[in-house]
Amino acid sequence: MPPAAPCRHPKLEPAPTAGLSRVISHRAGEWGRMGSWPLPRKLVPLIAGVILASALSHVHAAQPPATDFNVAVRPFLAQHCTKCHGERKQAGKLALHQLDGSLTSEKSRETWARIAEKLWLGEMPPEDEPRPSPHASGRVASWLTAEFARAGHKLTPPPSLELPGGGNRVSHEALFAASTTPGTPPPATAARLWRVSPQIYDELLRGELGKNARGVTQPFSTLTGEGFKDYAGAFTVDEPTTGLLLRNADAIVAAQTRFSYEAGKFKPAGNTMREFMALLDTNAPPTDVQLRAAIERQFKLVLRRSATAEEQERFLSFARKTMADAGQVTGARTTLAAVLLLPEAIFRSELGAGEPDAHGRRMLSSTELAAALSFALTDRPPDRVLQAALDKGQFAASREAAEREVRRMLADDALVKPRILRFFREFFGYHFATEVFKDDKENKDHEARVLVSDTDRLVEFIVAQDRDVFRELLTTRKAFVNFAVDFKKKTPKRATENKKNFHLAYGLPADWQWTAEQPVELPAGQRAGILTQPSWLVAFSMNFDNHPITRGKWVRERLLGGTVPDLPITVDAQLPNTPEQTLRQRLEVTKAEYCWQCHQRMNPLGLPFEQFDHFGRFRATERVQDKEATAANVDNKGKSRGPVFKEVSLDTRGVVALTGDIRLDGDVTDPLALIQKLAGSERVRQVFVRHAFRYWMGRNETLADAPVLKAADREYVESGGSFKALLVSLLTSDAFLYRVNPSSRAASVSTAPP
Amino acid sequence: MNFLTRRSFLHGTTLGTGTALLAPMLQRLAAESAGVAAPRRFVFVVEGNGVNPEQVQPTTFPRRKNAQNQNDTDGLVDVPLAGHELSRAMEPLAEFKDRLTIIQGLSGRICGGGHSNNFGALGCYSSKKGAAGETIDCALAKAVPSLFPRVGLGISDRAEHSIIYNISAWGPDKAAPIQCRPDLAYNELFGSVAQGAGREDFVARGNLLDFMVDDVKRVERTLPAAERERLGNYLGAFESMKHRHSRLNEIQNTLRAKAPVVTDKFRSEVETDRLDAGFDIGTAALIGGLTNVLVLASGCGDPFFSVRFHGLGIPLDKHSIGHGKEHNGRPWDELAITIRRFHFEQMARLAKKLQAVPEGRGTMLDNTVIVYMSDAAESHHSRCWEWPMVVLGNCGGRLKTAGRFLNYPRYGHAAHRTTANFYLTLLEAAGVRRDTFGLSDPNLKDLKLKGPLPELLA
Repeated sequence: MPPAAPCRHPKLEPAPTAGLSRVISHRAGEWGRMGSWPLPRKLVPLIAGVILASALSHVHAAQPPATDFNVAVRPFLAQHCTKCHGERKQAGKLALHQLDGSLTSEKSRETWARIAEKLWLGEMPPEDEPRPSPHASGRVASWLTAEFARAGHKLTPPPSLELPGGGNRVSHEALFAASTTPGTPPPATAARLWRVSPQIYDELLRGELGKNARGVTQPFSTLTGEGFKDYAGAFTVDEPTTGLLLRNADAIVAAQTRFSYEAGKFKPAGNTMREFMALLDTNAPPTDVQLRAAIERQFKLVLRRSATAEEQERFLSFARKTMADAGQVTGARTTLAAVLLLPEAIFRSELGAGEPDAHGRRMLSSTELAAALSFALTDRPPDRVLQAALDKGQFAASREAAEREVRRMLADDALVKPRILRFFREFFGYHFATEVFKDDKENKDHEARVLVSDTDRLVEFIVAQDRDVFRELLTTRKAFVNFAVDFKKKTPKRATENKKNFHLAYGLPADWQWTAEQPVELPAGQRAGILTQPSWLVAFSMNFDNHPITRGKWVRERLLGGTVPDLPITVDAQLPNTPEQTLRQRLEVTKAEYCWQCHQRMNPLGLPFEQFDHFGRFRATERVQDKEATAANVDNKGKSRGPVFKEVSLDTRGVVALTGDIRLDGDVTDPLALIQKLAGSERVRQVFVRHAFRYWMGRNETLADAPVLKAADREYVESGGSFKALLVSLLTSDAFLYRVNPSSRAASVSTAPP
Repeated sequence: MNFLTRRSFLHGTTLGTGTALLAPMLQRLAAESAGVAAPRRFVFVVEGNGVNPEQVQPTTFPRRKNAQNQNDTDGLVDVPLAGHELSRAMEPLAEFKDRLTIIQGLSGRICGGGHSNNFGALGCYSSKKGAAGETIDCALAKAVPSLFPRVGLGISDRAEHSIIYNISAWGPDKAAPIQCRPDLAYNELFGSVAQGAGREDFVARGNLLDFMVDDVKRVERTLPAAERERLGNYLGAFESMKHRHSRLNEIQNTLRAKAPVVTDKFRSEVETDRLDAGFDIGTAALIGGLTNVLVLASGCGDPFFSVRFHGLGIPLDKHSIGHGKEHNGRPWDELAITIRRFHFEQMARLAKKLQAVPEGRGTMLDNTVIVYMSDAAESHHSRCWEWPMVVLGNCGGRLKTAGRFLNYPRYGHAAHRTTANFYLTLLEAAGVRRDTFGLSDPNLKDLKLKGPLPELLA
């Protein structure tokens, strides 16, 4: 039977049905050909795409219908579209020659949304047809925007562009070109609200606020699947989440305001704060002064700032009204709960402050910047040093102040910075090893949890060395094996005592003795960095086999910066049920022309990892079912006694192709050769920098961010591969510091000369 | 004449029609005569610590099992319950025997087992992953919407737990609560007609929602257009809650008629009392038309499962009972059966109350299905080889549950099926057709496991 899809790769499942403005389906061919475009041709649609994207994404800016259908759109269709989607030919069953510019019917809107999306992504017209000019595309965009708005609908960008998977759609060559594309505005991030992450919420409750609170649960979710989890644009707060926030607020306030009556006498609980105590004794109703003090205290606890005079008044009047309507204690508690629900407690504000510069950009306010810096490295609001500086007015937003704080925090070993390890986890995805179900009958020594923590330790070790970090992560032969640190004694210990042969996953000899002196060197010629760590191999495996497709996809996307479309909804992806064949042989079915358009971008990059079995163990041969021996393996009643296996020779060859960098393209013999090739590539390093940008900005890059990426890459190289230098560069960049109102940005981009 | 459905009636009252309230019974009759189908209702009675298959097996139909005490049926067994005797634990359901189906032999290995399968029990995924996806009660709630899409009530091993999150979820990381304090649950559902503290809580909540709507709007005005939408959802959530709150105010007369009587049981130290109260409140919420999906969770989820049923004269905790301890010479299984029997008594009580409410040409029970199961599958330390289910009611004739005993064949057999197939059957009854639910069991990849159980669908 075909291998079951692993439990955690939603992208192997059919894509959800397309909405109005979603991709209806990818035609594999369009993507398969993209990689071989010569550079200048590739740039044109992307630039047009960016302009179009900018114009389309701000429908609410209510731009006037500047363009007439007959003047700008019909000729555009005639020139670029109807040759293949017209009267004589209807490629993809799409005919556009009869479109009249009306968007009143749902069907017509669907068609127009499909056109918008193809233009948006630069997928159409195909590369062997003349390109529309950005000006012409911009006029179509402007018309589409206005007409959709007129029809009472909103045209939104395809979600994949805004989510982590969509970042690679921006041309790598354009981002790292020596000169900036004319008309590109200077870097800045759109003014935004960023819902606090689950980790930030956890940390909030771990502090004074959550003391003794019972029945509090995590209200927030993250993006599912592998990849970055916390993009600023990815989350809103819906009703179930708000319901949880409300109940949590009740529970937190209940713990903050505990009291009892003993013999009719009010008795506060030991840890109820003085300001809150004053609200609870019904024999002594609180004065306005006491109410204000309690409101102020709650503001400080939740928002780490004082209530403004206006807020004081509003909360005071709310408290008075609710106490009158619902009783003193209930009213007081409800008032305190309201502070926990303020938008400011749920969303990080990054709107910018002060006068805009010539490009409409405003720097983050001092408070916003302090929070942004702190949340870049930790899950907590500004630490005591930064908060004190902020309170005393000694921290004023500027690039220099940002750099000073980043350097201080990076140098402070006592400051826990979980965001750094989380970046590497989400970049490599090795922590998903625990999500892949493995049958323990097949390997009793498998312990995914420990494989993951071993790789965590390796990442931390290399990041602490801070030399040539990315290359080391890709190539090191060092590994931590079954390694943990005793929480109390702070001494090394075994992470698992139960799995006596756990170390076999790393190719260490059976008689290997555990040592506290770690990392250890793994056997020569077997391993190179994270991609050969058992955790990564298991994370990208199926329940009963390797998964060369997802491994190849990972390499294509994370190291080569390429794209692979989602599985078309019409495809029922199944491998043949031929256990007598190797996995490589079974994957031959993907070489059918329709499949290969996409699979050529994945399989040849994933197949070298056949060097390892699906538990991540190095192997010299591959095990397949012996068909004849199995047929003969019957008891005297002719009933099967089960399959018989045999070892066959291993094929670990692979191909690096369609990268857009001819220095990279070529054949490889095994995974180590593949990794060495990748680790030595400038492009691969730059793609890594792009990913760091996305994680720390909480969004995908655009062409406007080119200077930021180039500077970060330069800093990284010139510092000898210091990850800290890369971080300082990113966290002091314009993209990090400046905010811009998206509608003004759209205008500035779309009016740029083509 | 165009009668009102209850739903449109409830809706109508929120529009300020000022119409005198019709009795719910009249509305049900009206709905029927207008040709509008009555709502479908789903109730889950989930008891912690597993359901030993022997304890729900008809005594006159011996269980086929292997040396490991696992289901060893070879092919689907489908026999009428008539002519067979219910187990001692199930005796309280005797009067509903002709509406009852006992299902044995479904597996749920993907959950992993243990003391509890937590969210995985109703969601068909690993017990260790927290709220990793939608659970069946929430999936059904989306299909049969109501003022409170889903109501979750129950008890935990500790009286001070007011609310726990361990078996239901709207989706990944969206846990849905089990309210363990009957008084708070009452306030939430019937607060508009409550007295004293309950009324105070209800009024304060209304004020808070008003305040939040105003506050979020105020902040929204300061934002650039693009981010207004992000805050818009937060605002929408408060507005929706405010709307629900208003409706509870507007249907006070109905609620007053249908609300359960507040008794000492609501704040009782005794678990059986609180569970009893939970059943009362949940039943009233169904009858009052507040919800169509009810979950009653008795000591579910790790680590909240080790309840002591003092009210049944059993001071021994369920964990110890699960480990075979005896009390006063009563062996563990007798204790377990006594506790299980109590749950079936509650279930019968709920069914009887629904049966007493006319709806269309029948009663509310006719449009309801009640599922009894455990979050821990077949034993105290469950491994999910099999997952006994007891199903009462046919959900408006959509299920074939009239007095049957169904036993699916052993794990791995071609006709073997999983709990996911059962949940898909419930979804089908709710009008939702899906092929899969939760994660599939990779060890059963050779089986045809898509879709509902055809033998259970009418």
